[in-house]
Amino acid sequence: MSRQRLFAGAGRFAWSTAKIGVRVVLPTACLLHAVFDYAGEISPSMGPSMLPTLNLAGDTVLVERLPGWRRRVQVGDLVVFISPANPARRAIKRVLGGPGDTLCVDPTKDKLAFVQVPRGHVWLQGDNYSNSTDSRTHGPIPQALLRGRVLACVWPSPRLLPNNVEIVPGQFVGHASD
Amino acid sequence: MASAPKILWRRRVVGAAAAASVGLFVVDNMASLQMVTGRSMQPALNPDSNRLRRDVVLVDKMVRGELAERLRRGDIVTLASPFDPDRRLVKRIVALPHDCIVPLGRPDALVRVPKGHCWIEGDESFHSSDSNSFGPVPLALVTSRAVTPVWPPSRFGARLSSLPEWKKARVYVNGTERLA
Repeated sequence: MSRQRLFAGAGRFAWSTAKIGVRVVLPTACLLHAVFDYAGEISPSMGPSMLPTLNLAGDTVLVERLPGWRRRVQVGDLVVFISPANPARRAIKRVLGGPGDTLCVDPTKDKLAFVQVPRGHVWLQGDNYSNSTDSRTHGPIPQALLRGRVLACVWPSPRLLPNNVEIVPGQFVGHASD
Repeated sequence: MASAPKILWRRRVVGAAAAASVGLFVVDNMASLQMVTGRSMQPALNPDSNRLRRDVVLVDKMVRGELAERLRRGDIVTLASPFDPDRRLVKRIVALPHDCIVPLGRPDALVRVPKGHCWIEGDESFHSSDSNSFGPVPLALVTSRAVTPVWPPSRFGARLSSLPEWKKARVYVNGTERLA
């Protein structure tokens, strides 16, 4: 084959690849992104802060983000949020208080401190109180930093992650390991 | 076997859906147009107080997540209100993480902006609820950065003013050197 024909063949191949990329791959990727943004996503989670509800080595969870999800977030729900200390980091924590609620910052301390959650904020804490960076350090988190409600764990052991929290007057009781 | 017009229609519908999803991605994640209401950014935006004349600005949305590092002092940004997730504010970034700033009206105080946060102020201090009232806000609340006005036509492509000198004088970069 002559060099000219080889180049022409390579050019045609590049052109058809680019056409498929623009017509098929790009719209499909954008459509998937829109589904992730407006319906929900399946995303990995890591770290010790949600033990024993979520695994240390990494669970893959189903995050819901259908229209109106912000109004459906209740005390006891697991939520995905963007860390106020680092916009590139996401984390999963449990909502322990909504706007207007008064709660104890850290019941294990000798001197108890109480806060009232301001308008438009939530109080988030990990289930593993001894190893979790949460509202105890960040303070109340603006609701605008929430990025979805965690509904279930899909991998490695598929199960629902229901809101199984009881609020007894004066204290909070979680049944995380059910 | 589908008939020819049927195939043609199917192609049109699929093509429109593909274009719409690409368009939605661009508008949500790269750049879009936003209307600015309110007077907290006068005179940079909405210089005319008449309610019928609202500026429309071209905004750059590639400032979220890791891209928050692209934000600079003096950038005009839109951000979600810390007190209402559905409300959007338009303010100017005055100080970035680890800077120190003297809040307005409290000349003896010095506030350190924590990691991942920024200090935002409206240009019109009298008509603005900003970091001077609620403190530093997380950079993650910032949703976009204003690039240039596109409406009204007389201001199309106008350069947005930067941080005024008297505000720069209140900022200590990384808590040490004064910005101006």
